Amino acid sequence: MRNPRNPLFWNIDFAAFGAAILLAVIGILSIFSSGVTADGNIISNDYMKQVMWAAVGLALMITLVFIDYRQIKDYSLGLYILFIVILIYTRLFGRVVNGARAWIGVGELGIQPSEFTKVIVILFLARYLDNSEHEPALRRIIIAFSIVALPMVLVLSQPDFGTALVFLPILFFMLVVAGIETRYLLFLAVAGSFTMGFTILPLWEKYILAKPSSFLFVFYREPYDLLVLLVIAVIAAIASWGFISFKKRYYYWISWISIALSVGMGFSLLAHKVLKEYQVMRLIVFLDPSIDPRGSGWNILQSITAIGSGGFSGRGFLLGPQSHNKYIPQQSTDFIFSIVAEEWGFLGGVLVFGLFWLLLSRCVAIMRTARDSFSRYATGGIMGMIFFHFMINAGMAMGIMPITGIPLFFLSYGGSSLLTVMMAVGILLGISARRYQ
Amino acid sequence: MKWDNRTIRFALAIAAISSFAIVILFRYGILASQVGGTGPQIPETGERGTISDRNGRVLAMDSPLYNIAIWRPETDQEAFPVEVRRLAELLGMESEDILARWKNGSSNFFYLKKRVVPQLARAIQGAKADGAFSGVVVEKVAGRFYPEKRLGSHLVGFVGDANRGLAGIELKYDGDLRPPRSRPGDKATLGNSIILTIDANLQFALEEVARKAQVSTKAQAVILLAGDARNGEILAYVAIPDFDPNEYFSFPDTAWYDWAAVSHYEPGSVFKVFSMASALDLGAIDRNTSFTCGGAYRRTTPGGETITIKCLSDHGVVNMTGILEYSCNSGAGQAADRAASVDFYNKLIDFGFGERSGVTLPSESPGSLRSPEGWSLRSKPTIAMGQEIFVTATQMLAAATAIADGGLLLKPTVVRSVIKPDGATAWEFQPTVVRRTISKETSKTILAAMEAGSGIKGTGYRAKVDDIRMAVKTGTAQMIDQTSRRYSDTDFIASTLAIFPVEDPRIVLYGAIVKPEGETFGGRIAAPMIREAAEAILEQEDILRGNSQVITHSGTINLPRLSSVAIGSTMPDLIGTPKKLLLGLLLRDDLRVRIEGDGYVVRQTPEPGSPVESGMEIMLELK
Repeated sequence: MRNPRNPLFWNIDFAAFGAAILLAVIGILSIFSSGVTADGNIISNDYMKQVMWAAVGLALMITLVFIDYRQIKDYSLGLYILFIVILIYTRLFGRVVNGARAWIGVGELGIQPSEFTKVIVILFLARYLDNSEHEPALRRIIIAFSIVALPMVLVLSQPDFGTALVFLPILFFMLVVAGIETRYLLFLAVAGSFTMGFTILPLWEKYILAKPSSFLFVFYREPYDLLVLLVIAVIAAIASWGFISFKKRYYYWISWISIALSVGMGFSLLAHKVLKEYQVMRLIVFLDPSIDPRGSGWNILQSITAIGSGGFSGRGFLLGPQSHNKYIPQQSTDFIFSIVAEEWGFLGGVLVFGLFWLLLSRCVAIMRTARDSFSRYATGGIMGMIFFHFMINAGMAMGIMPITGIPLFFLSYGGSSLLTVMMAVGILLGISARRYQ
Repeated sequence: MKWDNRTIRFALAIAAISSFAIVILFRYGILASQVGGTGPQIPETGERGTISDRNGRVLAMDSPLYNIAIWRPETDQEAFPVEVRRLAELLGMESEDILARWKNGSSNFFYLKKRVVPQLARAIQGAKADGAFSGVVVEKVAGRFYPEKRLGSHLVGFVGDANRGLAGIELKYDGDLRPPRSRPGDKATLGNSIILTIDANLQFALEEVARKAQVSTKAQAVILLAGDARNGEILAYVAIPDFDPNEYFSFPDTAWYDWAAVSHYEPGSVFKVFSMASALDLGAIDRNTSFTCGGAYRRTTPGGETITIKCLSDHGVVNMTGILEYSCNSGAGQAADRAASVDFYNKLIDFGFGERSGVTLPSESPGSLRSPEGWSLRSKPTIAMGQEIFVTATQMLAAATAIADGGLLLKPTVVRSVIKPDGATAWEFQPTVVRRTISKETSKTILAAMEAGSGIKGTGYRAKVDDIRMAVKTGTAQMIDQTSRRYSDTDFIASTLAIFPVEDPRIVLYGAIVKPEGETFGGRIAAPMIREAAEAILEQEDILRGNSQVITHSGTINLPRLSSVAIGSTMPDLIGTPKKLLLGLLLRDDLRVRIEGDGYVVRQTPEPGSPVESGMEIMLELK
């Protein structure tokens, strides 16, 4: 397939490109549909804006294909610093939308720098992991974590919990691709799960379990929580000492699990201080939407109804009763999947699944054929980002993932997320096109 | 492809990702294959159970309230900006605010006002029926209504925005009262109902008494509890200041504070009842052991230090009865000194001090009693006088049941039963003996000594109701000043404990006045409040008083003597004569008497007045 006159163009991954374009088109149609009432009145011109954003995104994507990613790699440190500064600026002077100071811009046009930061972080982290290949794993993990933590904390303080959360799977995917040993990765995964578990524990006990337990409070109520943490930390210290002294396997694993526990508990205590109750509530309400049917559970209940209403082949374009009676707030953004599912049915939903699957499988292919480590790591990060967005958002629409305010890439209304993912695909295509160079 | 470590890892990672995707896709398939409804799917909220007094008078019930919201897509672009003024006026809002949210808000559905009364909702619904207010949504939600307003407010408690209990029984029994969770399409569910032990009439009367006492003494708070000495049921639960749970938010949060169960304080001389009962039951003293008061408790330690605790006056030589009658500090201290510290401490623990009484109210305080290891040389005599120990009013009431019913400590309760929506009893209170605290004799002796306290020389004579035998003990406790952490010279708790009638105790009554101004002595201000409360109780409960009207009778009745029937020369009228009196006739040889049936004679042959001849047959039919 190599064309000697323009080798770059003919090496573009057209499957990934096509999937991206098709998803964006489905998105525009769905956004148009969400702006139509049951009487057929068009009450929103959001779809026009989305068309404009898509055009800009397409231009950026094509531009990025023709910029050599090695140049981008050289600029990534500067870009990282620039975006940290922009995030700080946003935090201080940004515009407040939906309770988060996450926007900058003039007049009608606004962008969320936190979205773009994801791509920047992927590039810079890929560069760091590339440069540090011969360093000890633990050191790499700690520095990589710090690179991610800085923008994450800034986004968290806006406060935009969902967007901040996306940084973690990006880090995790990239560490996997970077060949960090499995026990460290497993440790991160386990400690992360403990953090999540202990964070939601008090509200889970209060609303889902709905009866006071005799002992669970020791994990979150002062002063017992600190005592329990102390006890686990002491166990960890003793086990670590035992391992260093006697080199016995079981000391290693006792210390491994107790350190993971204490890290998880420590972060959860921090999370209890930082997170508001409603934020944690949104994380657990999917477990049983009926505990808050008029609040956080509303969207889930309506979205599930819409999916059921769509059935196998859907109600037809512009014909979804659940969607056009506006029962679902934020349908054009976070709950866009529900409109696809209602109007296009299971077939339409599977088409969206298939297109994402195609895109992600191209990521895997690009990783396997990429010519250097940096491009492998960057591809891993982009894949992690797209995968996480898709899984969380689709799962949320079906009531099996928490409500986090994470948009569905390509489909959700919003310039920032569309531009972000199209730029990411542009980088991906650029990497893939240069695989033989 | 080589199956090296890297490849395996890679395959595992892909497998993990794919399994995630498969789970989501699977769930999607299930949802899509279900027959879906349309329209907003909200489960009915269900109805919270009622709370009522022992006679079924409702103290808390659910009644619908309404949320008013805007559904933007249904609003009329032209008409709404005009109508909004009327809407704003109805709701008492600014029309500009509503318009701004309607124009610029991010959500298509937003609430204007929550929990408005039915009248307002009807006005809006009426306007909607006439074609106005398109896009204005009236949504029915559960609201809580307290028909008796302030009555028993600390006990009943209140609910918050989502109809969940925030205080009192509403909080403690939230799990019972709350309707079970329902899913969309389910029928509305009902919560369990709670029947309290209090009697609304008595509660009302005692609240009046307490409120009057608070006004006249300018006290910070007044506590008044009445309990049934035979089973531990609390009949009235008064804590002033109180509040109206219908609008609890418009009261200062100090009014929500439940003084009776939450606050703990040093009880003062009332506590001598329990310290003397302990000393007596331990055998450290008997009813005749006498002590010389001398105006103060003095003791010289082995180290040469002298401890002095002042008495109100020099009571001369006193025994146990005198200690309670005159509230003699010196005697109480000396009596306590005769008991070993550990035994004395354990006995007080047996009375329930230092632990929660188990009355089912939220935030009940356990009070505090230091263990003997932490005692100074002053501690034992001081505790005997009711300082250096912290109690709650419910603890005092519960401990008094041990004195009243022959030494058994009863678990106090405010809840009689929990009733399921179908009327079945889910739970019922059974009188519970926590433990035997003192012997029966000790309780009798203490009751007799307390009765002396209500005599003319006793400190509690102002609590005495005429014509009824009452056991009374008063107290005036110093309070700790929260800023200086020392005993205050101006802040006191004046309290009185009463048990009556002494011969067969039915009622325990405890009242405390917190930080009164002016007169502070328990015998002067708390005792009269107890008398008024006791009068109110006697009016409502069927307890015999000395001067109540009683119908007397000698115990014997006179009945006319009945004699057996005799038949002479003419036949008598035997109609109505009982069978028993006819038996003599059977002995006659000259007459053949036939008796048929049982009971009384209803028919006879021959007729009355007929001549009787020898050998005649006489027929008597009985019924």
